[in-house]
Order: sequence, then C-alpha cells, then structure tokens
Amino acid sequence: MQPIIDNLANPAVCLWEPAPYLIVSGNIWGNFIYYSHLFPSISVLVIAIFVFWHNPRGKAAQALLLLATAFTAWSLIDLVLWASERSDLIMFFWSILIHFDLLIYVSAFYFVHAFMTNRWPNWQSELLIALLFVPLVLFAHTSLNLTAFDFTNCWREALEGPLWQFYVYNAELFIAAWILVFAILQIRKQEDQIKKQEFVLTTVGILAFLFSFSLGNILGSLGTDWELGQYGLFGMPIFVAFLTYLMVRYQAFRAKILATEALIAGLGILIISLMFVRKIENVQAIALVTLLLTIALGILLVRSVRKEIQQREEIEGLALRLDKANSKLKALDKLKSEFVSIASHQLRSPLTAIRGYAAMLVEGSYGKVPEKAAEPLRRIEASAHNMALSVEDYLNVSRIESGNMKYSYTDFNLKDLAETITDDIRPQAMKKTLVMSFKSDMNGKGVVHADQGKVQQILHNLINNALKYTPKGTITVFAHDDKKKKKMYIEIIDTGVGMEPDTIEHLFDKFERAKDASQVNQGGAGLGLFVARKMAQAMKGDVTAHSKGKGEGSHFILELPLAM
Amino acid sequence: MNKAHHISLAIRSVTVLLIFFSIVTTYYVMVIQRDYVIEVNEDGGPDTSDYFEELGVLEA
Repeated sequence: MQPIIDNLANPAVCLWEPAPYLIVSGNIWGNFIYYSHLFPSISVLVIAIFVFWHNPRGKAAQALLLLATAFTAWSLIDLVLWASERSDLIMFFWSILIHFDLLIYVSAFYFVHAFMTNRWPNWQSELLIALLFVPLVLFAHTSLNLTAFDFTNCWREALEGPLWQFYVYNAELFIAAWILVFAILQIRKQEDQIKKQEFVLTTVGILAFLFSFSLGNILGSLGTDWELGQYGLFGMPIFVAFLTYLMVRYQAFRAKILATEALIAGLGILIISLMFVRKIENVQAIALVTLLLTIALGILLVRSVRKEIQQREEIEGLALRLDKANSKLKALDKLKSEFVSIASHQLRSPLTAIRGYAAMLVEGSYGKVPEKAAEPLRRIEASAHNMALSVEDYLNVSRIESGNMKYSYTDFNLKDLAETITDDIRPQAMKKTLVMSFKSDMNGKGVVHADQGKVQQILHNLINNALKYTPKGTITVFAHDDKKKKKMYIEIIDTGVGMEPDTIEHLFDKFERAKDASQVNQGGAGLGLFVARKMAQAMKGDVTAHSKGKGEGSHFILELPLAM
Repeated sequence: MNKAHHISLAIRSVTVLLIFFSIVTTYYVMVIQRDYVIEVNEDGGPDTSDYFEELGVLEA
C-alpha cells in the first residue's frame, strides 16, 4: 500500500492545497481551466435537455442527451485531476476517465445513426461497440492503463500506459472512421436535398468536435502539456453551434423555438463564467469568444425572427381577407335564402291552381274530356304535383337555414303512423310489381314525442325513395323500439340499386344525389334526404343510410326518442 | 418487441454493468488498496523548480 501523497504528507514540498469539493481548489493554476471545462459542458447539456424535454421519445434526442452526459462527466472528472492534491484520487479518476473517453465517441456514433435513420444501430454493431469496452473493463485498474503516479515533479500527473496510448486512441479513430463512412453512405442515399444538407452539417459538426477533442487529448498525452489539451474541449461549443444552426435553419428536432431559448441560456452561461476568471487577459479572451458566438448565433436568430414576422403578417392579412370574404358570403347566402323563400311562395299559389284545375278536368268536372286530351292533362297534373313537392323542399331548406322551421310537438304512435303510410303507398308498389310489407317487434307502444306532420313527411320521403330506386324485389318497413336507449326505430329495407360507401358519405348533403341516380329516377333535386335528416335531428332523432354496395339494396333508419 | 431488440437491450445492459463493475474495481485498487506505483527522483523527492517558477509567475 502506498502512502497518500498529498498536502498533509508533504506540506513543505509542493505546497498543494486541499480540494474539499473535488473540483474546487487553489491547485488549479490555469485560470482558463474552469471556463474551458464548464462552459462547453453546460452549453451542450442545456441544449440536450431542451431537445430531450421537447421530444423524449426521439432517438436522436436520447442519443444527444447521452453524448452531453458523457461529455459533462468527462469534463468534471478532468477537473478533479486538475484540482485534487491526493495521488490515490488522481489515479482513480484518471483510470476511469478512459471509459468516458470512449463513451463520448460511442454516443457520437449513436447520435449520428439516430439522427439520420431514426433507429438505433443493429445488434451486431452494438455487440462490436460492447467488445471495444472489454479491454477497458479488464485493464482499467492495472498498470496497462496508468503505469505510475509521477512524483518526480509537482504537476500531480499520472503516466499513461499502452491502454491509453495504443488502444483507446485507435479505438476512437476506428469509431470516427465508422461515423464518416456511415454518414457518407446515408448522405448519398438521401434524395431529399434539405435532409442531405442537414446530414452534411451534422457530420461536419460531430467530426469537428471529435477531432478537436482527440487532438487536445493526444497532444496532452504525448507531450504531457495538458494545458494545451484543454482547448480541445472547445470542439463541443462548435458542435453546439452546428446543432443550433440546424434547429434554426432546418427546424431539426422540430425545436426551432428551443434554439432561441438555448441561445439565451448559452449567453447567460458565458457571462456567468466570467465570474470564475481572475485575470483580465482571460476576461478579454472570453469576451472575444462570447462576442463571436453572439454575432454568429445572433445573425441566425435575427434572420429567423424576421422570417417569422413576415410569415405572421402574411397570415394575418390572409385571415383578414378571409374574414371579409366570409361576411360577404354570409350576406349572399342570406339573400339567396330570402330569394328562394319568396320565389317558392310565389310559385306555390299558381301551382295549386294548376294542379286543382287539371285534376278537375281529368275527373270530368267540366264535361267529358276527349281521349286525346286526357293523357296530356294527367301529365300536367303529375308534373305540377312533382313541382309542388320540389317547391316544398326549397321552402323547407330555406326555413331550416334561416332557423324559421316550426315544430309542433305531440305524443303519437309512430308504429301506427309508419304502418298507415306503408298501406297508403303499397298500391304504387304493386303497380311496379314490388312486394311491400310492414313488420314490427315492439316492447312498448311505440309512442314518440315529435311533430307528427314532419315525421310523416320524413317517412313519405324515405319510403318513396325506396320505391323509386327499387326496380324489382321487396320493400320492408320494420318498426321496433329499444327501451334502454329510449328510442324508436323505423327501418326501410329494399332490394334496390344500393350504394357505394363514398356515395353514402355525401348522401345527406344539400343538392347531393346518389351516383347514377338519374338513370333510375329523373326527378329530384337532391334535397329530400337533407331535409329529412335536418328535421329528424331537430326532433332529437336522426336518419342514417346503409348499403352493402351497388346492387345490394339500401337500408334507411329513422330514429326518434320515445315519449317519456 | 422483436428478438433483435431484446439482444440489443441485453448487450447494452451487460456493457453498462461491466463498466460499473470496472469503476468499482478501480476504486478498490486505487483508493482503498492504493495499489499503484509512485515514480520519484533518485533523491526521493520531486523536482520543484519548474512548478514554483510557474507558480511564482501566477502569484506575481
């Protein structure tokens, strides 16, 4: 067992001071040491935490946090080596530093891989990486790692062995080459030009950091000038600058706004770090670094903010124009509804006269009508009837849109109403050789609370539709109730032309008719189902349509709440 | 969760455990056992000239 070589054991030899908090002591004679270690660590840690906070599941964000953590751990351990006066602690921390040295390279590879592919490396690659750590695990505590503590002078340094000088630096070189080859392959494979630029910037940034970091260490290791080695740590702020640029320019990590926050935090750290500096020459150096970073990132930020403002102004302008156009459209729509309402009312009176007199002529109220004139008169009556229905639909649409539709609520038996309407329409079905039947499966009486006239209109519309679009087969009207849901249902099931799903989607829109509807039924403006659904919904019910497809028949359901 | 994912997870876990084990072992050897070589000059003490020269510059 060796004696602890420290200030207490050798008070008069080297005048070392104790380091009670490991990293704080007067042994750090280079005033730049704290700045070169803490500023890069904190800057990358801040940006990594911001990115991770924004997207904790993102693999690139996770890898960046790993890289920042490994780098910060390395920097803190290195600070202990500068500050501590105890040979045993220096030997311990210097020995384990080798793990973090390699971990920085490994996490850099993970970051590049995750950033470019959004995946972790495959298990074969991970196994290779794990195998790189095996010699470190086996020999970190032996003289292959550190051969001795150098007490031939007072610099408190360990002498590095072959594990450092021959193994780990070569392993790191291998990983750097791996990153380069992997990145080139990904960049060549990438077709998106923006992504390609992102990949190039990331590769350049990470390799610049690794090169700077390693160069500092190798120079320190070979020449034992560790003060020179600390400047290698400034590779990290360069990488952070690349990351910030990626965020601002390309919105990498989808964290544009975070880049602004990170920039402000970075500037704060730079200014706070001035407090650690004791010599005016160093303050000037830090001020210069701060100024350069501020100018570089500030230009990016100003350009970004200017672009944001321009876009916002454009959007505000568009929103204003949209608002005006919307107001105009609303006014036009109101005018249109009023016009349709007035026109429909004006049409209804003469139509009633035409229908009435045509019917009286056909019935012979004005004497026998010649055979040749009888058929044209019947057509006049039928056309006037259809036109009256259309006018009624236009009026209903106008009332619905203006909110003037009136509902007179009463309690009535919906099952009986549906059966009566089915009986009324059955003769027309028989003329087309269709079988029309009524079925019911009732638990209660089937009394609903609704406007009977409107419900009658809805049922007429649905059953007449089934009649129009069923060339042959059956039409079944099925009434049933659900006491739990307090609903009453009338289902109209036909074996007619059926519909495709995309037709059903728009079937209840205004002026919308089913595809090929005109081939089966020439009449109709596409308002009946729109009006039916709106009326049903106003009475807290609904109308829905179903079909298995073209030629498979249709299935319409009217639902209304049962009377309490 | 496929087989490859489980293999990756196992490799990572084992690696982290081995590194942790190595750190603990190193602590035991270096701090508790203090089993390391100390290189000294022939007279048994350090050469302080360079160090104090630098220190003197700093103090000045």
